[in-house]
Amino acid sequence: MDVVAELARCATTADRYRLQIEAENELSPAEIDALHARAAGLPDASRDWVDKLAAMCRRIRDPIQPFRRRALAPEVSFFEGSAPPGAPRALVVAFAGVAKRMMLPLGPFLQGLPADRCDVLVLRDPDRLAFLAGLPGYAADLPALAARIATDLPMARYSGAACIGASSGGAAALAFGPLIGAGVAVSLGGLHPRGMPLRHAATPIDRYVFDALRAGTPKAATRLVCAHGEDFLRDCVRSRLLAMTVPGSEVLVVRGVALHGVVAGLFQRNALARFLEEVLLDGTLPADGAWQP
Amino acid sequence: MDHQPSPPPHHAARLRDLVATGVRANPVVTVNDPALLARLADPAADCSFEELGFDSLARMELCIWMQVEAGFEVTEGELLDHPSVGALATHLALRG
Repeated sequence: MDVVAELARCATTADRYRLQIEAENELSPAEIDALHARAAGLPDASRDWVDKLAAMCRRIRDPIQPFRRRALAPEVSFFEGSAPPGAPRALVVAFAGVAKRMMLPLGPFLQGLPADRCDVLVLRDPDRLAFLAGLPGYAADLPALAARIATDLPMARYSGAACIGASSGGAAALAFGPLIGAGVAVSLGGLHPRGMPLRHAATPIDRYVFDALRAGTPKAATRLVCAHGEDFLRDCVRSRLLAMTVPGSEVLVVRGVALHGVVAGLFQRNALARFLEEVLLDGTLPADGAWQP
Repeated sequence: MDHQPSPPPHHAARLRDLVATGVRANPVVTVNDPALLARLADPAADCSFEELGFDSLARMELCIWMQVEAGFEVTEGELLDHPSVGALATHLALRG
């Protein structure tokens, strides 16, 4: 998407915000950086927006992580990292929340991951049904998603996999991790689908489909982590209830975070990159169940 | 001339209060201006998201808050098409 050209064509404030939101949900850190380099030609309001996005990326990590975006489907984006051929790299599968983002614009979230250690697959449910009905037009359910990924991605290159889901994507991440043999699957402020305020679907939605899936999946070594911000009470309750329904899962308290979905709170504490590397890529969880930013 | 049906007043007022709560809970934009805060608290007044300083990041946070905390799905399109606290509340009341 040529954001500069499209911003120039926006006739109304609402058009501009629509475009900005779309860009926030799609652009990689490098694309944001490139856009920032052209910001002088943008109207003031959009220049402020690009400045803010670029500053968010730089605050998380320097240099900009060179993920290259490739759309596999309208709501399925693959971000290829920079690991040289033959070097170990992980596949990170990210399940976005209700606003189709990981509680931050996508670029800053990706900037929290080292591009030389992983590729990232970002999934957004356009029907906002928390992936209970799979990904419309791509995979009918999570087992079909696992099969589809095995076809679309070069799985042989990966030395490991990890899943992460924010908010309403959290439960899907926990269900999907064992399906692809992930080392760790992390729910960030997630909740059981039974408790989610989902839109009315055209066909009945089984809110217990992930429970049935887990029951029918051979036991895997995946560590299942229900993380929540220490000071966000609703996430605390929801995450602990979710953990009670996911056998073998563990609760991870993120100290000093008071925002829903953990990610934005980690950003505020300048700890997003360290959290993602330690917990998601290294699978290193604190013995006492509390992660300190 | 088309007339939209009016939502029940108590329902619209409750929703307006809910949207205002979501505005005050926004993690991206903190409203500090006493005049704006007074208008947010006044059921008879309205505030546009623009004058509240809501950029696209703050608007998406409000969408998330409305769904996750308040149980109302608000798409980004709805938020942009109803660009004030009162307009969004009225829209939600009419939408049901």
